[in-house]
Amino acid sequence: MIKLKGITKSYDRPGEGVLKVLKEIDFEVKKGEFVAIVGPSGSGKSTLMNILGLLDRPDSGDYELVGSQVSSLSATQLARTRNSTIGFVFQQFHLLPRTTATENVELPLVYSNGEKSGGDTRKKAVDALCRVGLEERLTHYPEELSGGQQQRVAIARALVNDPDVILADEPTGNLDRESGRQVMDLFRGLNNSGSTILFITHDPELASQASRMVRIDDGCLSASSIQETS
Amino acid sequence: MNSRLLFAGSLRIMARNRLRTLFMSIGVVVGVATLIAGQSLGSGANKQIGERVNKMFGPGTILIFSRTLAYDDLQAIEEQLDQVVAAAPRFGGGESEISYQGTNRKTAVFGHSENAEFVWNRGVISGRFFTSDDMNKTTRVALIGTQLAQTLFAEVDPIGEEILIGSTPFRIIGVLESVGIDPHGEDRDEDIYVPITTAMRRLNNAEYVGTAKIVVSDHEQVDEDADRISEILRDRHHIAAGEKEDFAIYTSKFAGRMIFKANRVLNTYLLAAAGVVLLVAAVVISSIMLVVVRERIAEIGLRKAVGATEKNISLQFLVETLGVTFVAGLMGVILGLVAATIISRFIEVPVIVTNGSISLGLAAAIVVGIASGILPARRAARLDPVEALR
Repeated sequence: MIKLKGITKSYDRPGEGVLKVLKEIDFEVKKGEFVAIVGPSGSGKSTLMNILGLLDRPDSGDYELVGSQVSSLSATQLARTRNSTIGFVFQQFHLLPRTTATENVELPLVYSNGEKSGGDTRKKAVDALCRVGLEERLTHYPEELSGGQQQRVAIARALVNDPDVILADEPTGNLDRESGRQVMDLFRGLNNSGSTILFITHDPELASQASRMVRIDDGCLSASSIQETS
Repeated sequence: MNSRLLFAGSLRIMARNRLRTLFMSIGVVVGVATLIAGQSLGSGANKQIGERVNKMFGPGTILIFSRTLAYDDLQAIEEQLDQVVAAAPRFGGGESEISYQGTNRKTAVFGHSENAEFVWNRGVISGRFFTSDDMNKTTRVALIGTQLAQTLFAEVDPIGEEILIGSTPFRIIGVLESVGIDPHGEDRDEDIYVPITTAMRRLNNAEYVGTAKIVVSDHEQVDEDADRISEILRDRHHIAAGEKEDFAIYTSKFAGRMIFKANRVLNTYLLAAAGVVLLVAAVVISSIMLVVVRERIAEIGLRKAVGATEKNISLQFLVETLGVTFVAGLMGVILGLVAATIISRFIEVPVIVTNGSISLGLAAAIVVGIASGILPARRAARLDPVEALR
């Protein structure tokens, strides 16, 4: 599903010199895995997530996503690939204000080509909201929903295009314990029904709920930090 | 891309940001309204001017002014130019003392021939016009304007009454059709007409008629006919090549052109004013949209994350801008028509609405939308999603 080989990324910080954020990352994710990436802030895990999500390009290295090389794709092709292959869940939810839950979930379908945008987009959005248990909140605005509900709308949005992989960046970071637990339960449920899920967290307890945990430290995924939990 | 959803989204955003949409619209509404009102009243004024010029000159007419224009000159023109339908001299127009039963007035007295009714396009509303008999016998008869008739005679029927022009008695035989105020501000309903022969011989002992009007068969050829008349007069007045003419010739086409030109200057000013308003509107809209882009950075980042290409994003912002200006343009057209209708009541100019002017108004709104939307749209499209989502 995902194969990273020798990925590096560095930023030129004026005054601080070149900052190497990712150093020769090799990383693989198989279909149906539920992977947690843990690491302290500044360890490079967000940069890794942006590269995995095709929002950012590595300086060097190969990235194979669902069987095809994506390192050489144009910006437009990257956008199309993001649309069809990846579902994002962010820490800040990033829902459009003054836009109903259904309309928010419909958003990725606006940019879909071919069979995915065909048919009833409204029905697909409603189906996705049902999957996250929000069938009672279809016409609510984000301002009228709790944090946990907002994040579930965002997860429905990530699901609506039936992506190959879901990338979640600190999905419970802005939620209270109970809502966070619900979101993690939802992820586990989705994983059980076949979704491939990657999520970032700095909370070891949350990470332990994944089927596999990867530790990133100072831009490196050390082999020793990769452990199997079953 | 699903364009139905994209457009629906743009409409939703417009509707949910009413105040912003209002601010963005005002300039375009006013600019387009000015354009439409100006065009509609301008076209109306043109039509009205055309009608007045026709009324004053009549189509296919030529006016000759010359201190040395003789009766014979007109005869020569009639003989040498087949296109001439009729020619009528006019004499005088200076102010004379007139009196009736002790009431004195100063008014313009013109000498006219029997065909002035047709050539100068002014008949009588009561009584009779001059005849060739009046010309031959230099009779002392007169036609008077409605305003003068009112002043002098009030209740009495003026026909058959006798007035004095200077010290010569004239019998009134008719009342002239009302034509109102002429472009020089003179009330033509104060005029007195007498037979031109009488005016020249009995009142003034004059040799030359001074003014003549000629009606030709084809309005389109009137300028060419005027050139021929000019040649005839140069020849008869013995004016050598290169020497200055002792006459001036105006055609109905020339008069129309002069007045239309004045009207066009006014229209150009209105058009320029509308242009300035629209330009300011474009700048205002552009800066509002730039702020909107900054406010919606997170939204743009999110849209990119879920698969929007640069083109999608730039199209979205362009459609949002264009949507506002187009609707504003439609409202401007309506407001312009309403304003034109109200103004036309006060200045008594008809409103003429053409498809052309409405298209021009809407096209202006679209151009403003594209011009002001392109920069913000481009800026939004080029945002780095990583930065935007931070």
